[in-house]
Amino acid sequence: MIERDELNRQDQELLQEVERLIANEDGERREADSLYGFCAHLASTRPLADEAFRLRLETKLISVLESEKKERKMSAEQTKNGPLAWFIPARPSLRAALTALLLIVLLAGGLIAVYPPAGAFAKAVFDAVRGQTSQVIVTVVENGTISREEAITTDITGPLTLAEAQAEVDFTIRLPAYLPGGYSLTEFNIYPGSRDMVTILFDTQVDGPGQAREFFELHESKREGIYAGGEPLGDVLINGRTAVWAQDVSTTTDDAGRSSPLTANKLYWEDGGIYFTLRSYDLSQQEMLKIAASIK
Amino acid sequence: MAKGRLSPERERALINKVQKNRDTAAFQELYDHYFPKLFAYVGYRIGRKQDIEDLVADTFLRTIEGIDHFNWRGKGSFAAWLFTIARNLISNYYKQRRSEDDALPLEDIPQLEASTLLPLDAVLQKQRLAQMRRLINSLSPRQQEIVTLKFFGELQNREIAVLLELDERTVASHLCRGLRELHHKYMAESVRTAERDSR
Repeated sequence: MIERDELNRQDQELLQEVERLIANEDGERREADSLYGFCAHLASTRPLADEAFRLRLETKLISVLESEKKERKMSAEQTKNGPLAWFIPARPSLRAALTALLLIVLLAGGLIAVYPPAGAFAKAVFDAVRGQTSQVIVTVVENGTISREEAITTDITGPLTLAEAQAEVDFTIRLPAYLPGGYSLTEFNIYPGSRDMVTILFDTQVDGPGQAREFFELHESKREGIYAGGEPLGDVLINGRTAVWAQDVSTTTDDAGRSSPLTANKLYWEDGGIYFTLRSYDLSQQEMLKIAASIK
Repeated sequence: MAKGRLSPERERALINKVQKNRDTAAFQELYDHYFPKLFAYVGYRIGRKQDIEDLVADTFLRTIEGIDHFNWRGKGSFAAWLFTIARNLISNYYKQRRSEDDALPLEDIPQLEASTLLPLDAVLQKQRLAQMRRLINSLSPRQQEIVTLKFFGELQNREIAVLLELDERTVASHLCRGLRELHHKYMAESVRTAERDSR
């Protein structure tokens, strides 16, 4: 007696043909009026996802994994070293760096609190880094007291257009195809005499009363480590390349001289001999990964 | 060109890395391997592009949430687990919707792979996908599952058998019968279309 599910020779041939079709997506073209031809026709009628969706989902999932990894790491360290241990870095070099940073923050905060021009200095440095001025006033402190003020020229030049910046550097400047809503490319800055690095500023251009102007920076350099730094929090992938996700903690000063901590998110990676760094105070990791992935 | 296959040893090593270290590179390799298969499978089971995307995203998110509870049980066990999550979500999807949209607007239907055999334009391609989907939906529920898991999930018969808790020979038998029935319906429809066009 033949079993109900026993396969005859024709079925076995059909199954072999199906396996061959599925293993070779661009199989031999046949007319769909034969059974095998119909199977080829069916195998080639495959829904395809939009690439944008595939990338968006990939970024989201990687971000979920990164968050879980970070939570696990913190939880493990907390368990290992006691309830407050998560606050203190485990590596001695990081502990020393944190201590030095805290001392600098305290000294700077104290200086700004007792001497108003220091607030203006902090603002000027902030603007200079953003490429809006090439000269800042530095307050010189000698023997613990403020002795004088000096004008110094910062070594950053800008703003430039893409054509001007491209003429200055000896590599092809690459730009992101994706920008978060509201952001646009504002300017390029280069270091005089240096043909191997460029800083590109992207800005929300919102500068009305009570409106915070947001920006992020993209550094491209042929020299490794120029803009890397901050505390590495883990590795992420950008178009298959490993990148470092890090944070820089500094302080900001308002017009009244009050200082507060400021955290910059950083993403740095290498691609084709160029070292890229994305830095933002406002954008999430997910947004920064999308920007990075769109730099072709 | 033959498609890349993930060896069971490699797959197991990748899963271990994700479970132990939340290794993003390992996860990305699994994602790259399974994303197109899962999308194509869900594409046939659901139809509407926005719903397919939501369901595929939900499947992968649940995969990450539950990966610590996944136990390797040999070749095909991860694929079976992944597609079981998708099947459960599809089942919930249809419980929440009283009926399926048989006549979806073309803009709601996903595109076809670029390697498609015939150089049809985008509209004709979507019509072809809608036709195939309608024909498959006319099969028995079990045959629908097996044909879509085989052709679009690209699962081995053994993997489908694990997933549906069937004997491997039963899977093969359903697949053959389903394909013959589909071909028969396709030919009958083609004849009707040709007759209508000649009038």
